[in-house]
Amino acid sequence: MSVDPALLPSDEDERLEAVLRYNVLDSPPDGAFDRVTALAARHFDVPIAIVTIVDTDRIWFKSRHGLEVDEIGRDPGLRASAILHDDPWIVEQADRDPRTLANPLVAGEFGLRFYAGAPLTTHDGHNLGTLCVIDREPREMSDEDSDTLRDLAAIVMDELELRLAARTVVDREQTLRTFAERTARALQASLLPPELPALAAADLGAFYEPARDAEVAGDFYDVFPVGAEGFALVVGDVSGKGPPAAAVTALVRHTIRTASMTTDDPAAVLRTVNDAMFLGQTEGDLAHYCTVHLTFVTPLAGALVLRSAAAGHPPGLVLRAGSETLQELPAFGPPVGWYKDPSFASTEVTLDAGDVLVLHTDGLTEARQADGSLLGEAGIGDVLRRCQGKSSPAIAEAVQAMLHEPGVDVRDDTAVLVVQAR
Amino acid sequence: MSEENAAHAPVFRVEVRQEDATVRAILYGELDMVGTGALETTLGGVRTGTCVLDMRHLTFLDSAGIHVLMRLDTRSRAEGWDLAITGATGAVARVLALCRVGDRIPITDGSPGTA
Repeated sequence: MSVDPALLPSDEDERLEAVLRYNVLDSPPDGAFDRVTALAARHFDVPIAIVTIVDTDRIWFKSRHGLEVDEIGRDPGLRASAILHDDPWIVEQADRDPRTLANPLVAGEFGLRFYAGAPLTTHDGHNLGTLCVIDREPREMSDEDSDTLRDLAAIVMDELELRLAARTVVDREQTLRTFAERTARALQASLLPPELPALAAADLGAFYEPARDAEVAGDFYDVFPVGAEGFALVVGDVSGKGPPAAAVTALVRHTIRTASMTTDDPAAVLRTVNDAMFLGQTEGDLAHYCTVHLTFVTPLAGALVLRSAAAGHPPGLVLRAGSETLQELPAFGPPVGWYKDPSFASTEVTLDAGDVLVLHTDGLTEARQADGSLLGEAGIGDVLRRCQGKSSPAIAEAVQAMLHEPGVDVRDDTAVLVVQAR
Repeated sequence: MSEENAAHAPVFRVEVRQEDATVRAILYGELDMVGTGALETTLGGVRTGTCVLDMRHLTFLDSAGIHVLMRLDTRSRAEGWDLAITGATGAVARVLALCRVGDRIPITDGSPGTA
């Protein structure tokens, strides 16, 4: 069904764009519009009042009072004519009016005799549809009536404008939020090594689980080459969440990488990280703290020599081959970002074949078990003893599985790195 | 609540006593993210003199607890009052040692006759 081009408004393409923009076609019934049609029917004392939206080939009713149909084809519509005019289009005796007497709605079963339609005109001059009142008996319409109809149509248009404006604000907010989330995620993703590097001298395993809430996580880990054969292991935990915390993670991680190029003393690297955080800031300015555990690993005759320093971070844990007792690497220091001249100390230990080092964040040790007790280092010790002889990835998997056991409540991000000599 | 019961109650509680120019804040239970707000609010009015955090009855301290100590330390230096920690034992003492809190905030063992 196509409409005679002579009956189309001159701005039909832009008009249809406007119709789409207001996003009103096929929308659910709406009390605000229903109140206007009910009011119009009451005021003009007619059985039928409709808010129509004129689509390409149909006339759809946003609100209909006294009618059961939701839409009609554009061809026989009187409303299609109403949108050609900027003033109300009125037919007082439709069966005598040459403009309408042949229209099927007039000539046929419907028996339309009176029609008055005021266009719904957008602020930029497009007629989306009409507010019209209809009767099966002829009626007269005074200038005052015509003005009233025009005003009611303007009220309908105001409602459409308000809804469009509200939706625009909501959409814009949503766009901004989505952008912010995507940026944060991209930033955080860039901060995780996509996979552990394959190393000749060491067997590495790891896992990383953000806490259940959707925000960007605060834990991080890193593995990168140092010198000819060595590598660095980093585990850290930034306070807070979201993009500002992710920015601190980036600063800490990249400063560690850069500083590690010119010193093999992990305590010196942590002092540099702390200095970097305070560049241009005074104590008390920083909104975020960060704990870090840094270990330089140097392969030596089948063993791994480890030099570690830590900034307020849970100590690295070593289970020696054949031993039942977990050892802590004694590396102490304050979190970075607290004050300007902290002391860090380095500690050195050698891993022989079969010895396992586990680095972790406090999300692991502070997980609550079913009986209410903390998992703690005791829990890690249990897993390591059970997994003696297994590969680092297998050990990491076993630790992760422990966190997923029924009744275990993990409250925080968790990162774990497992290291053994090959 | 008797002192014995207090030591085993997990919920955080702080009791404040004024001793001349010193405010003694006695911490009970576990200091984690839930309790830190209460502690900061309680000590929000301290502006002069010395504030002693008495940890004899504290059973747990995590990173959120350490952050509150860090903020109190920074504020005390900016506002010109003194902060001290006393009586920490067990797991709490371990966390304080790990973060070398004693380098920055004086820590004593809380025996009679000391701060």
